[in-house]
Formats: sequence, C-alpha cells, structure tokens
Amino acid sequence: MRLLDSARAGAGTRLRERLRDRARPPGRALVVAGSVLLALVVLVVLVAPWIAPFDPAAQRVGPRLAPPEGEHWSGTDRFGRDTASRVLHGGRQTLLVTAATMAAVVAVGVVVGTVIGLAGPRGDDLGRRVVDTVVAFPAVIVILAFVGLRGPSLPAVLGGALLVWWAPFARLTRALVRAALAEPSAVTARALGASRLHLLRTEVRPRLVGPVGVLVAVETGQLIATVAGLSFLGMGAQPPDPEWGAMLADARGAALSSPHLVLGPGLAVLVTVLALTCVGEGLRDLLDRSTQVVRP
Amino acid sequence: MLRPAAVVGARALAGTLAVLLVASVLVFGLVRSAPGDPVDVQLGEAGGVGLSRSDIDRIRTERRVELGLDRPLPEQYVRWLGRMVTGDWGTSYVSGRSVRAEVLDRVPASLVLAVSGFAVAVVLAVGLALLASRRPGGPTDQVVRLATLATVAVPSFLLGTLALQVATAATGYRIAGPATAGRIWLPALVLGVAVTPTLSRVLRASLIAERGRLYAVAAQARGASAGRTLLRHVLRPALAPALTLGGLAFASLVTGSVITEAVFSWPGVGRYAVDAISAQDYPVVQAYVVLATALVVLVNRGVDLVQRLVDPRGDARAEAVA
Amino acid sequence: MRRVVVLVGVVLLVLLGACGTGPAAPDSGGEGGLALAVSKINAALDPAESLTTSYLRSFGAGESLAKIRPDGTVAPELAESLTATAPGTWTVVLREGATFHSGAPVDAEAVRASLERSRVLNELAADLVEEVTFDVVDPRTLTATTAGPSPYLDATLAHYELQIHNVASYAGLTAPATTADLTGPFRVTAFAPEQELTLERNPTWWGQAPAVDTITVQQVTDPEARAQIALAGQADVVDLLPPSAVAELRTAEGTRLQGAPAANTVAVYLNPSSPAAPALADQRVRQALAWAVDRAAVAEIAGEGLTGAAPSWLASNPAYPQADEQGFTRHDPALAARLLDEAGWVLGPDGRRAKDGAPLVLRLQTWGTEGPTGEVLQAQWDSLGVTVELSYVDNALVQQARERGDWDAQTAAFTTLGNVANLFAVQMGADGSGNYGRYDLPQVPALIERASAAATAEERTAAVLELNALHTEVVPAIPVHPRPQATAVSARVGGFVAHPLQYENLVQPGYTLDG
Repeated sequence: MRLLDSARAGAGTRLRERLRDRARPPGRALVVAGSVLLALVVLVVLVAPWIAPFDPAAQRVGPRLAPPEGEHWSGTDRFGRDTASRVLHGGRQTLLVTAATMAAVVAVGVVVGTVIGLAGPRGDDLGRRVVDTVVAFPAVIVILAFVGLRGPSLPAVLGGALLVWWAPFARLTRALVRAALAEPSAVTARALGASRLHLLRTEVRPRLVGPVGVLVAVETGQLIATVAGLSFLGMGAQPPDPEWGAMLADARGAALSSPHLVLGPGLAVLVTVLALTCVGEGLRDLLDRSTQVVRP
Repeated sequence: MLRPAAVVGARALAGTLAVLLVASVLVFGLVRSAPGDPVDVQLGEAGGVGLSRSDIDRIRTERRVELGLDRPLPEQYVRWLGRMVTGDWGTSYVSGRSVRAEVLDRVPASLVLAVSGFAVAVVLAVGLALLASRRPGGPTDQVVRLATLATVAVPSFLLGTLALQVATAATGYRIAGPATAGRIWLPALVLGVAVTPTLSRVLRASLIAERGRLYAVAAQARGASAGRTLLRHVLRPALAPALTLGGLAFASLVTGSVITEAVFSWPGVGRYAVDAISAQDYPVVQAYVVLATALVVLVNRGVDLVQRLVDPRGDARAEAVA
Repeated sequence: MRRVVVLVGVVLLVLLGACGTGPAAPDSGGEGGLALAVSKINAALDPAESLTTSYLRSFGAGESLAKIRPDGTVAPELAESLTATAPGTWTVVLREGATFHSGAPVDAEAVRASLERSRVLNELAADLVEEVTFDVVDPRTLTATTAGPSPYLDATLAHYELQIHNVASYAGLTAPATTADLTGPFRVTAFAPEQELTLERNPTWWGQAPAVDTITVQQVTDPEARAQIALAGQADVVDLLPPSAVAELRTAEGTRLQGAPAANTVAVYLNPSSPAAPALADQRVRQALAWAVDRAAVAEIAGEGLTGAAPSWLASNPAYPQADEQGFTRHDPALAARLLDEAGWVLGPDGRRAKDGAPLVLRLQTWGTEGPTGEVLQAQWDSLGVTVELSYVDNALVQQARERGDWDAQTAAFTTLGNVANLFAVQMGADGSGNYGRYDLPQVPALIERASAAATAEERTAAVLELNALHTEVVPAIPVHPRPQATAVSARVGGFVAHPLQYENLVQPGYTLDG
C-alpha cells in the first residue's frame, strides 16, 4: 500500500514536472522583448519634441478633422491639430502619471502588506478586512471625489489613485509574506533564531518580486484606463497638453466616423501595456523556475 | 459550549462595525472638505435671473441654517450618524426627495446589471482559462493571456461607446429607456468583457496547479476520462481562489459601474453617486459611500463562507494567487 | 461537482435569456407620439421649485402669463393681453374659459395665488417680483403695480420661474410633488424623477389643439449616447448634442440639425484685482485681449459653425440687432499688440510678453460646455504672446475661486433676454451677481435708471445700448459668441421653430407628425 502510494506520488511529481516544463515559456525572451518595446516607447516619447512634425498644441495647422494623408499622416482633430504629434507628445503625461502612481502605490502597498503579514492573527484579520474593503471599493468614485476636491491636475489624480490603488498590492504582499513564512525553510530559520528582518530578506523578498511584477503589469493597464475614465467624466488632463486617455475620451463618439482619432492613442496605450505585460509575464516565468512554486 | 461561537460572531460583527465607522468618518471628512457648498451649486443655475450679490449671500446663509450646515462639523457628523442608524438617510439637496427612496429606486438596476455582467465574465473566464490551461505555455495560452491583458487597457467608455454604435446600427438597440431585459445585454457584455481578464488569469493559474495535483493525476491514472477529471478534480478546487477575487470584483460592479451606467444611460446607483458628487449633494454621497462599504464588507464575509464550502481544505496557498 | 455544473448552466441560461430577448423595435412612441431624449429631466414637479420650473416649461406642461418670441419680443401667453396702463401699472386680462389641467378655472384670484406662492417658496421668483404687487380687479383681470416705472414687467412675467399653477393642487405637500397642475398644451401623466416623463395632449388647452397625442421624455446624460439616438432615429427631438457629432448629424438622413444660437453670451470674465495676473487691472490689457479674439474662428471650431460672433455682450439678444455693430466687430491683432505695448507688456525674445520681468500669464477656468471655447482662446492669445493656463473644472471650483478672489479669467454665459436693464445691473452694477470682477462703475446706476424710467421705447433702447457700449469699453468680460444649441429634430416632425431660449426648443404646441 505504501509502495503504491509512493509510486503514485512519483508519477505525480514527474507529471507535474512535465507539465511545468510545458508551462515554461521562454521567460527570458519575453522579458527582453517587453523591455525593448517599453524602452522604445519611452524613447519615442522622450524625443517627441524633435520627431513630432508639428506643435501638438498648435491649432489649425491643417484642415479640421482631416483623414490621414499627406503631411498629416495620422489626420487632424477638430481643432485642426496634428494627431500624430499629439500622440507622440501625449505619452509624456500618460507615462509620467502612470509611472509615478505605480511607484507610489507599490511602495505603500508592499510596506502595508508586509506589516499585516507579520502581524499576529488578530491584526492580520483586521488588516486583511480593511485591505479587502479598499480593494473592492469603486476606485473611480474615490479618485473623482479627491480630484473634485483638489481641482483637476496631475498631482490630484496621483493622490486620488494612491488612496485606493495600494490595496491590491498590500493584499498580494500579505498573502505572499504569510506563505513564505510558512515554508519549512523559514520555519527552520526562525527556530534557529533568525530575526524578522533577516527572514524578510532571505525568505520573503525572493518570493515577492515576481508576483508583484506581474501585478504591476495588470494594474498599470487598469490605471491607464481609469485615468482615461476620469477624462471621460471631465476630470482628466488639462488642455492643451495631450494625454492618451483624454484623447480617447474626446474622440470616442467619432470612433466610427473619424477612426484615426481613436487609433493613434489607442495603439499607443496598447503597445505600452503589451510591453509591460511581456515583462511581467516573462519575469514570472523566470521566477517560477527558480522558486519552484507554481504561480499565475 | 456555545460561547466560542458567540464570541467569534460578536468579534466579526464588531470588526465590521469598526470598518463601517472608520469609513463613515473618512467619507464625511472628504465630502465636507470639498470646495464650495451645495447651496452655491444650486444657486449657480440661477445666474440668469439676476439676483444681486447681497441677495445671494442672504439666501446662502438662510439655506445653510436650514440644512444645518452652519453647525460645527463634529456635531453635523454625530447628527447624521444618528439618523443614518435609525434608517433616516436624509433628503437630497438637489431633488428634495428621501435619499433612501432614491437609492432604493436605483439599486435594482445596478444589481441586475452587476449580476448579468458578472455572469458574462464567469462564462468567458472559465472558457478562456480552460482553453489556456490545456497546454500551459502553448500558443493558445500565450495568445489568451496577452489578449486578456490588453483588454484591461481599453477604457470601458471607449468599449461601451463603440459597442453602442455598432449594436444600434446592426440590431436597432434601444439606447434610452428603463432598465429592461431588451437593453441589459449590451452593458452586461461590455462589463463582463472588462472584468474577464483578472478572473481568467487567476482561474488559469489555479487550474494548472490543480491539474498537476496528486488526486487529479491519480484519477486520470485510474482511467477517469479527461473531461471527468477536469470537472470533478480540477475545476472545483480551482474555483476557490477565483472566488475571493470574483467576490471583490462583483462588489465593485454593484457599487461602481459608473462609466458603463453613464454610457448606456442605465439608471443605476453609480451614475447617481457621480452626479451627487458634482452637485455636492452631501446626504446622497455620504449614504452611498457607507452603503457601498457595507456591501463590500458583506460580500467579503460571504466569500469567506462560500470558499469554505467549495474547498474545505482552506488552502493557504490559494490566497497567494492573485 | 454537480453544483458547479448547475451553476455554469444557470449562468449560461441567464446569459442566453438576456441576449435572446433581442433588440427592441425602434420606435418614437407610436404614430401620434413624440419621443424626446434630453440631457436632464427635473427631479420634482412643483413649479415653485427653482430647479424644476424650466423643465416643466420646456416639455410643454407649463405656461407663464407671457412668453418671449423667437425675435426676442414679448407676447401674451396664458394672458390674453398685458398692457402698461400707467408708468408703474400693468393690466393683465386673462383668457376666457382657460382652465388648469385638473379642470379648475384660471381666474384672476388663482393667478394671484400662484404668483404669491412662487414668491414665498422660490427665491428666484421672489427676486423677479420683488417690488410688484398683484391685485385682483375682476375674475378675468388683475393688475401688477410697482412703485417706480416698470417698462420690462411683461418680460419678467414671461419668466419660467413665474409659471401659473393651481395652488389648491399643491396644498399640504409634505414631500416633493408627484403630479403637476398647470395650464400648458400637454399635461403630465407619469413621472420618474430624473429618468422619464410622459405627457398627453391637454384637451382643455386654450389654444389650437396640438397634433401630438403623447410625449415621452427620457433622460440620457451621455452626450454621445444622445447623438447615437438622434442618428438612429430613436427619438424625435434630441437636445444638447456634442460638437463631435455635428458633422455626422448634418449629413444624416431622417433627422435635421437645428440650432439658433442661444440668447446667452459666452464671455470671458476678467478679474481686475487678481494678485496673480495684475495686468488685468489695466483696461488696455482687457481691451487688447478682446481685440485679439478671432470670433469667427472660435465660432467655427468650438461652435462647429452653429453660432456666430458676439462682438458685444448684448449681441446674442435678437431684439437688439444694433448690438452687433458695437464692440469688437473685427479681429484686430495689430490693435491688440499696440494696446499691450502701450500698457507696457512688451514682447520678449522668447515671443512672450512681459513687464518689469513679470510674464503676462493668466489662468482661464472653463466649465460645462465651454471647454472648447477656452481651448481656442488659449491658442489665439498664445499667438499674441500671452500665456494662458487653461483648466476645465467643476462649477463648484469656479465658484470657490471667485469667492476667494483667487482667479484671473472664467467663462460664463448669462442670458441676455428678459428685463435688459436689470440684466445689465447684474453684469455691471456694484452688487450684481454677474459682476464677478466687482468693477465699480459710477455711471452704471444712472444709465440703468434711464433705461428703466424712459418715457419712450427709443430712449430706453438708447440707454441700453449705452450700457452695452460701456461694457465693451471697460471690458469686465470679453464677449465671444452666443452659446451654440445643437438640437436634432427628426424629419417626421414639422413645425419646429428654432428659438434663442434653450427651453423653448423641445416641445412646441405647433408640431405636426407625419408617418
């Protein structure tokens, strides 16, 4: 009976490994491809002032609502502004807001999550409930209220997003911290008198980077969409500075009649998010291999 | 030996109440520190009539006294909390109607939309996750995961507006009107597509994990069909982690499909809350936020319960998957 | 496991069920029914609620004693006649046999009670009839008396805040009214606040019976959704269409884009005591900014060609065509540059204007539908060397900035139709609520007095035009264009007459329907 069990277990392990081998996409290649794409996007956005054919704020540089052709190869908007130039310049605001917000929420979320993860059962329970409440809370409404309070501006959007967006990261971090501390190696190390700080460094941190990276990829896409949603509700970026989300919000009604107005900023957002996704996914694949833990 | 259960229950209740209380203080503070006040917003529309500035000042003072806005904030808070507890949610500054009546008018529409949107998301997510987890890392898997993540980045107002234009042209979809079955399918679809990526990700991951587990492998070794193995030994335990996330997603659907409601002229609470924010309709905003928080907390508790039913093992690892 | 299968099955069924019901047939409320899709529906039905009144009027439910014609002149409405019988007295004669929706007679006592109720409950109405006394002479006649001359009282009585309603039907209300008892050509049959309102033809209306049997009004807040409704022919009248849809609507079949420019002048109000933009204290700077506005371009880009230029503040009032010749009748960037040079704000090597090292920068706040106007002005002033920081904000923030005095420039669009002398008092009087910049102009009270007390219409007009000229000289606000109104009216609706007052463009008793 025992023999049979271990034989089955052996078969299971082998199958699991086989599955994992199949589940092992080219992590490194994904990371490299994603990073190159992302770097390209950032580079294009940075050199926009030199490569953009027109001043993005200059009105009537061409006929109004012109379809893509000739020198306005991406068409013009209703103010007669060059769409291509606006998309190129627009990345600056979008990327800046997104990157700054993400950096802030990841920092806050990871710290809060770690603190909750290290807390005793009662603190953990309360912390988890608070975090879950914030996670499920309608982010748009909180940000809207905050932006309404401060006046629409980049820092206001950032502050509003910070109020709610840390929570998914805290939630993930807490779970990872607890899982890591329950691993046999961590239990042993603790029994041997390792400090919490030491445990965090040796046991928790390696298990944190990958999943948090993946979450960053997912949440960045959502953040870009939400900031765009603020423009839709009239609380987004301020003219004449272009911003991808605001451009999408302005053009949504003309998506069928003047598709060039949506395609430009839409593709820009898509490429950025795809690049981030590749990095996140690749990172996770690489990490799965090193820690031997199956994660999404 | 009834005590432990009672203690646990009391503690859970206390925890819930504490969260609600904190939320109520926060929302009160946030709402009341907004610039201007509701009286100005109402008078703002009166520009054409030609009140003099001193008239406006007088009316503002009178109205503020009438609404109790001249009292110190802590006093206003305590009064409001007291009324809220007794079920009197106040009167909307804008419409003069009972906030409770207005909210209850709109909750069914939001609820129906959230349920249908969530149903769409579950069907899509389960389908995609099964597809993707069949050959993890295979081309289907890669395409599915990139596509779902890219969907996240499409703002729902754009998706919604496009869907509205296409459906109106193709099927004569009725854009305006009450919350009816003939109108719900489109916003539900858009909402579902927006929620799918997160759900399908989590499902896919736990499906892969569960497929590799001993009992699944054992079942297959015993000669169970692939389909039976998948359903009985893989899908069910794999649902557990998705439940937590699904619960949270559902709660946020009920409380805040603000943009979808706006695009589809859906008479729900989300849009109502946004309008109230811009009109500084304090009683509405406050009641909404407290109710939304209560709902979210309740759903969280519910998810805990259901999770135990679906996967009694209470696998700690399940939570790490997010 | 079975539970999971059942769950998935149920979900699928729900989904199929939802899809299966399929699209509803596009309709416009049946043959004799008119369907409206509007940006907002009232929250209550009481014509003494200040935020309700204009809606009741726009949907054809309510009337005032008089109304304003599309050309800006005043005509009797519920009253058969309004006559100035003495300098401070107007005599109102009611129509014989007129009744409320409930059937109660509209007699002089009922009209007086209605006006008094509005005065008590509605601050805006109270302000309109502040010094007016109403007396019943006989069942069909009443007088409105003021201490001084009141040449504009007929226009005042045409205001939608003074709709005549049956006071008895609103007695003892403890909650907002859910029925309406007024006198309009249509009467309310069902009402869901801020969602849907239905009306039917009022069989006892005093005028010629409308051809429309029933009206369904639906609130559709998203402008793009309204545009789709108009394009798909799902409603007969759709209001406040977004500029982005104008081009498509112009060429659309089955619907016509209508839009007389509104009698509201979109203007940029300037704060002469702004600490952040001290340049605005100088009248020459304000004039320069006004001359530098290419109004035709603004009207074309921001107004999608649905409006024209407003060279002076009064220009959007169709009753004063002379106002089109006053003020900033041309785009004169050279004059603007010269004025700025004179004021000491000279062009630097960077193409920006500055004085004593301080750059010429101003913050422009816009809200509502005026965002695009701000965006075009920003570009036009930018080419003059003036840097404009534009922000598109909430009404609450605009008001707060004003209260604190911490603002430079804001857009607003006051109405120019009505009691014109009083409207100018609001714009330029020391205590006027539209005098955002708190300009203290000593000439104004005398001019307003002259406009109000003049013996003849010519003298009145002369005084009003003088006020308008003073406005263009001092420039408390830069007039830009009348507010555009984009309304789509389906081809099957006949008899639509475009009107400079927004609320007169939705339901008109003269509509005919074919097909």
